[in-house]
Amino acid sequence: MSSAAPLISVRNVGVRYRVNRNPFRKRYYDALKNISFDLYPGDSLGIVGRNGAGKTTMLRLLSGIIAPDSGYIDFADITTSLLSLQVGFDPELSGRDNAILSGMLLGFPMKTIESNLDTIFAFSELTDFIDKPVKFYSAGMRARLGFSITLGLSPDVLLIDEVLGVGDIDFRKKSMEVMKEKLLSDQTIVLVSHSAATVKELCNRAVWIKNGVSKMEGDAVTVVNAYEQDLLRHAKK
Amino acid sequence: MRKNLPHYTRFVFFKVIANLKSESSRNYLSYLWWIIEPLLQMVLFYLVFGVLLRRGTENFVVFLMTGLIPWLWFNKSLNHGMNSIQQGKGLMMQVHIPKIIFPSVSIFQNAIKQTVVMLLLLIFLFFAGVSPSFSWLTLPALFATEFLMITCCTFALALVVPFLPDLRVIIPFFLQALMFGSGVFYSLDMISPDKRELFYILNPMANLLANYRAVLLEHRLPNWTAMGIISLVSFCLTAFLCQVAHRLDRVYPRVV
Repeated sequence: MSSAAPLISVRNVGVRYRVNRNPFRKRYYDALKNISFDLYPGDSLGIVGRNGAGKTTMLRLLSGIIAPDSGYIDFADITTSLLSLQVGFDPELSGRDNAILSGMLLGFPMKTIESNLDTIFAFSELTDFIDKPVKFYSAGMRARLGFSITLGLSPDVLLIDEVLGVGDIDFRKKSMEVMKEKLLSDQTIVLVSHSAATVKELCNRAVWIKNGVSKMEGDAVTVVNAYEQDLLRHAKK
Repeated sequence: MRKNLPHYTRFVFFKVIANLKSESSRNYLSYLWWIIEPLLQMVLFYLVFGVLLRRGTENFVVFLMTGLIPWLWFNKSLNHGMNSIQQGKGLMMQVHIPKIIFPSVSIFQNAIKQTVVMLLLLIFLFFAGVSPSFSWLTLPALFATEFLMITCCTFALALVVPFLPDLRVIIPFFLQALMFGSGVFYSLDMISPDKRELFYILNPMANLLANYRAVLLEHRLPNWTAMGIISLVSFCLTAFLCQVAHRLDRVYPRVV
């Protein structure tokens, strides 16, 4: 896989946030300090790290929501999309309107969404609720609708932030199958997780981020094992 | 799946309609409020100024309405719109979205409601004894001018407020000052004509309101030059602000 040119090259990337509003005494927090890795076509790359390691910030960078403060990210003229659930849901609106709005925000043309509405609602098992306001949905139903909207999404790089546990067990199984299908296909994926098992199962390569620095990049099993060892070492202390 | 201008234009259009739907579904009387709210306002002003205070007879109520209703549109649009980017926080953390969309949605939403209010105003004027005239046909031009002015001011505020949240506290005060300075409650005829020119340049709102009154009450045509200049300046500033917003698109998710 590494024979092809990388789709995304991340080089020495750092992100710092202002943490106060005092213009005379500026305080910063470095969410990411020095991150480097490559993403190749067809990869399913796992990003592992403990809470607060900077995983979410990394996803925001890759999805183009924010830009890095130092270093650079080289996108090879591709589209990236964050697999987010319930993007911009308005509780007062019907499931149909929300599906259209949400789908448009994810970049689908309106016509595509309208023609896929039946599929979306069938997959989410919400056909009877299509015209009911989303405020009458349960949390699980909302999650199912959100997930189903993003199903048809096939950008060059799909970014996933631990969404595999959606809804009840049956639906989770169903969504897991779809996810695996995507992972096994040519779809390039970046999966962010703190669960070692998930990354080992679903990814072929992995990056381990510790305190805002990319500690290790390589084969998923090797990287995740090192990450687990590190976790254990900390647990003992 | 490249995101582009036509796509986002359609999104704004759909979102405006969705917001109006959502807003009205929160109340039992839903869309009726579009009529009831401005009607109540008109009745209130009629009672206070027309019946209780008996200030300058019926004419004053008519005079007040023709200034107040365009003013309230401006006031409401700015108050809603200036927080729009801040309120889009949740969304902009999930997807990349051009931030100018947030104030745009808010501006269109208010403009659609205002068209209803404007029609009500015309009906009110008719029943209050103002005879309709051909000059009323130029009203859309004034509406468009004010729309451009609102767009420019709302964009400016919406773009700055995330960086300077304190503005949210001070802006309603400035708006109030602007209202008193724009002749909503009084006629600017008391200012001598040569000074009025300067005043109109400093405060385009006052100029706009005077033109609304000329068209609605005095059956005169609007001052095309003045309206043209206000529109042109607003349009250029708006275009500039769009560029600024584009430049800062990846900065806002960090500051809100």
